[in-house]
This record gives sequence, structure tokens and C-alpha cells, in this order.
Amino acid sequence: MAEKVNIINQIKRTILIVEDEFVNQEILKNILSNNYDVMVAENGVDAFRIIKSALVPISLIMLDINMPIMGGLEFLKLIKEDEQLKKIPVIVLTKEVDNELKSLELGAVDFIKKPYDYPEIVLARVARTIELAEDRTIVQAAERDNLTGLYNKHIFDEYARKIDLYTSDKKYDLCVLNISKFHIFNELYGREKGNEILISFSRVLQSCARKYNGIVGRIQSDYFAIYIAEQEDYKEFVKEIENDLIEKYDLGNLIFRIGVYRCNDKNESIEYRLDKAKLMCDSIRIINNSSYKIYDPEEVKNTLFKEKLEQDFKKAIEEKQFIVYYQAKVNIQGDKYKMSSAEALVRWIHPELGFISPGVFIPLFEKNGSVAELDKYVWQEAAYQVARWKERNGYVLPISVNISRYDMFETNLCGTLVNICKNAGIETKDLYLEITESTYSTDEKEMMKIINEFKEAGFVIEVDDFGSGYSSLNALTGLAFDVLKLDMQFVKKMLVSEKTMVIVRFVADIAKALKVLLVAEGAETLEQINVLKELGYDIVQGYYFSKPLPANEFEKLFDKEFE
Amino acid sequence: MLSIEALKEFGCDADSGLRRCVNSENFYFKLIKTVPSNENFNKLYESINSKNFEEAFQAAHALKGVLSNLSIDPILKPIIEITEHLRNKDDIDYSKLVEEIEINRNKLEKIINE
Repeated sequence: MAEKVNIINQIKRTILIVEDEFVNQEILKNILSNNYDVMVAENGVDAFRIIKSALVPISLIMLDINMPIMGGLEFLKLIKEDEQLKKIPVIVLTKEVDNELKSLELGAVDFIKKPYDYPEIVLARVARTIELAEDRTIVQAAERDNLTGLYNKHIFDEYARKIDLYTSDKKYDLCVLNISKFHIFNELYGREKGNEILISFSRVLQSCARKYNGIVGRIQSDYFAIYIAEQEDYKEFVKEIENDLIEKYDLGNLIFRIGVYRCNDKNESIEYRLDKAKLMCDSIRIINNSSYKIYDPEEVKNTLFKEKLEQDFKKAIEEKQFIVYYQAKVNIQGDKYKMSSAEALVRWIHPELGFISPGVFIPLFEKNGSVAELDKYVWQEAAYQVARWKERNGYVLPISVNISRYDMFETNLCGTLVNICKNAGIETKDLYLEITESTYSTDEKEMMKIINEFKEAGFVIEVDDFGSGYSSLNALTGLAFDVLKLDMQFVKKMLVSEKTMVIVRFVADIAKALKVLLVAEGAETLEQINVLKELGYDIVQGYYFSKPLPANEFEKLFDKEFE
Repeated sequence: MLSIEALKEFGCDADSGLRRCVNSENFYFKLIKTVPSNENFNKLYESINSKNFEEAFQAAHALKGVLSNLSIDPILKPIIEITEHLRNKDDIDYSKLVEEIEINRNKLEKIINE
């Protein structure tokens, strides 16, 4: 930084003298030329042309008032109307009080009286004027975002803290605003148009912030921050921005999101509050209209928890943190109840968070697509378990694994499952595939094709959660399946709801008519078991017989007699 | 011969003029030499003759700036007087003032050319 300042100080500034009299030009040139590069114009028109075509920036204009063609006051008025040129400081050269006042009113920063009695004073005033102008420019550049002219993040932080200091009795909200899918505007229309949009959006925010007695800054590419007095809700605020965007800039298609952090403790740093508001802003994922969200610590905790699970997934697979549990399926149609198979159910024993329910992580991995990898992991574990127990017991206990609708989109799914069986040294008929009823209705034709492939490969197909979806009964007629598995909600309610009992009976009739095996899950009492047996259900799965158990504990069930 | 003494003798505040030229005699003399031929003298006289007081004022004003910077007081004095009249667009007889200016301009020219 110091080096940069030195370099800046070493640069010879350029001064433009606008003066028609040769002698006066020469005297000024003589005073200045040791320290500055000096350019001369003979009138306002000439000066304007020189400034516009100058290759180096003009640091100062020294302006005479009485000149032919275009006088000093007219020239001064002209450059002060120009956004770029008005930043150049102007010292007026005059001997008359009237002109001093007029020129100061028009934007001159100083005047030097003719004749130039003390050249050293002229030099000092010139140096001071340039220094002040440059300091002001540096301060502005350091405070403001180059593109939009809004406060930059650092200065926004400073001013927000100042507001806190002077308004200790008032509550303030910190809002982070983001233009939704801004990168698409850049892609479609180019960066220049994208910048125009950012500038327009900034102006709207600035006018809104002003209205709400707040401040606004640009904190990151298309992220903006506003610090305003607490609002009960932000509906009106959002509406005002939307209206301004439409009316002033024809930007009705711009969708933005606002994350709001309510400050209850002014000791919290602005940086901390910005982070929280941004977190809220980013949590508004898919939006069709501009919207806002107010920070809710519980929701954030939940979001962070989910994000941690997503982040830890790969490691969990590598370290086998996912443990496959098995729940017994018991045949109830003989004199003695006998375990006929088991269902593989995944659990996550997280090294830091402990036991995590599949109800928490499965929906998450379905959403981000990791579920296919997790399912494959479970299939492999289950296949090897079938093999291990076959060796232990001398007979096969088939295990059902779940095939989710997300797996159905995997290429060569059937081939993958066949290979898993092959690698584990089991037959395909020993791995039952539970396919949820709703999967069938996703793309009926494609699903039928895949399920037929499974059948041809020798797998046993179970329709899982039957009755929970909304698929047409007609779909069952076209499908190749071996087992119908009634959704557990029916078993739970059947003894208290007459209508539910009608359906349970009805499903039993369907299975009988279709000549498929019938399974009921969720049975927790002997009474439920007896009813299901009477209705003709072949197999029951539920806590009455056993809860899902890890493999080593499950093994105890092999010697157990079920009653 | 043009010298500080000669200028002082003529009535100029040469020390002030020299100071404005950062005490460079050569530079000061160089500028002094341009004064007698300054176009604004003729412009002033012509404008007064045609009673174009605005134009005459501009010329007088410009001369005032040059003469005061160089401290050529014998010419500056009548120029200041004439400038103020012209500023007010006084329709008076300017011949005496013009004559005084011309006499002193000639004297200065003589000093320069000696």
C-alpha cells in the first residue's frame, strides 16, 4: 500500500490553463512547469476539446473568466454538467470579486487573484487543491462499489454500526437481497446488459432504502444488503421494489429474494448478521415470484443439520457407517409360524450425531440423487448377508431389498443387480425386490419393461406399500409380480375402522384372485395376526414378531419359534 | 537597453513583476517585449472609436491582466481607469486616456529597442 502511495505521489499531474492572454499563460506556465505538466487552451471551446482528447487525466483546470469565443463562466457551467468532467477541480483566475462569487457558485473550488504576486502561494494552492480532490476521489473509490455506486461491504458494515450506535432504542433488520438466476441474464444478454440490470436494481434499492430511512450496499456480485428499521413483514417492501423495477426500468421479469435477519442483540457483529441474512436468502431455493424469508434459528439448525448429512454421505459409504438392519417376515399360514424371509432396512450410525432415522436421511438423498448409491450399497450388503447365512444355516433365507423410483432411472439396473448376486455367490431368486406401488405409475410402460427384465433374470418382485398410492388397480393386471405387500397403515387401523377392514379384506381377495403371495406389514399385536391369518394373509412383518435388528442380533431369530 | 533599472526609471514596479516571473530576468524581459505589440491596444482604440464599449472593455480588461502581472504601471494606470469607464459603458471622451496609454507604450518600446 505504501509503495502504491509513493508511486501515485511520483506521478507528474497535468494542469490545463485556460487563458487567452499569452503573457498570463506564460507566467503561470513558468510557475507551474517544474512541478506539473502544463497544457494551455485559449478559450472554453478549445479547453473542452483538449480535455476530451487528452491521453492523460487532467488533475486541475486553471480558468480565466474573460475570454473570446467561450468565456470561463460558460465553460465552468458546461463541465459541471458533465458526469465525468465535473470531478476535475477548477481554480478560477480573476481580479474581480463578482466573478469569484459567480464561479464558486458554479462549482469552482478556489480562485487565485491576478496578478500572481506570490508564485509560491499559487503553487501551494494548486498542490492543495489537487491533493484534496484526489483524497475525495480515493475516499469515494474506497467507499463505493465501482459499478453501482452503492456502499461496498466494508463501508456498509461501518455505517450500519454507526446506525446502531445512534439508535440504540430502535430495532433494525438486516436484509440480504439477491437477483434470482442472475447468471442466466449474463448468459443470455451478455455482461454489459447484466451490469445495466445490476445498476437499475441498485437504484431501485437505494430509493427504497431512502424511503425506509435505511442504507444499502453491494456486498457481492448480485448480492445486496439493506439495513432498515424493523418491519413487521416485508410484503409491502417487496411490492415497492417490484413496482419500481417495472415502472422505472421495465424489469418486471426480474425475480429477487430477500433474507431477513432481525437483530435482537446489537452486540452481534454486522458481519454475523449479514451471514445469517444471506443464509436465509440462499435458503429460498425455487421461486417463481419475488419473496422474502425471516431468519428462524430452528429452521437454520435444521438446514445446517441436513447440509451436514449431505456432506458426510460419501465418507459414510466409505466407512460403512450405514448399517443394514433386518426385519423378519413370518409365514402364518401353517400350524407353526415360520420365518420365511427378511427385509433389509438401512440405518445410519453417524460417528458424531449418533443414530439417524432413515425418515430423516432418505428423503434428503432422494432429493439430491444420492439414494441410488445408498440403495446399491444396501443391495450389496444384503446379498452378502444372504450368502453368509446360507453358509451358517445350510439353507437360504431370502432378503427383500427396496428399489426406489430413483433407481429405476439407472442404466442397466437389472444387470447391476444380477452382478451383485453373482459376486455374492447367491441366486437371483434369493433377493426379493420390493418396488413401491407409486413407482409403477411413474412411467408405466418403462416400468413394466424393467420389471419384466427383473422377472426374466429370476428375481422375486414384491409390490410394496400397496394401497398407499393412487395407482389404478388396472395397472396390477399388466404387471409381472409375485407378492402383494399391504401398506402398514391399513393393519394399524383395521381393528378400529370398519372401512379399513373392508379394504384389508378386499386386498386379500385381489391377491387370491391374482394368485400372488400376500404380505401384511406393521402388525404389532396377536389380535392383528389372528385377523390377518383368518383373512388369508400368508406372511406378516411387524414388531409383534421382531423389530428390525442388526445382522448379529437377527441371527438369534433363526432358532426362535414364533407363536 | 532593457533592464530592471530602466524599467524602474520608467515607473514600473519591476521587483513585483520579476517576482511573478519567479525572479527570472530573461523570462521577465521576454514577456515585457511582447507588450507593445499586444493586439488588444489596437482593438481597444478601434472599439472606442466605433463606440463598441463591450468589445473595448474586453480588450482593456485583457491588457489590465497582462500589465498588472508584469507591473508596467505607467500603462496600467490609465488602463485601469479606462477599464472602469468601459465597464460602466461611459460614453465619454477617451482621447486623453488613450493618448497617455500610447505615450507610455511608445516609451516602453523605446526602452526595449534601445
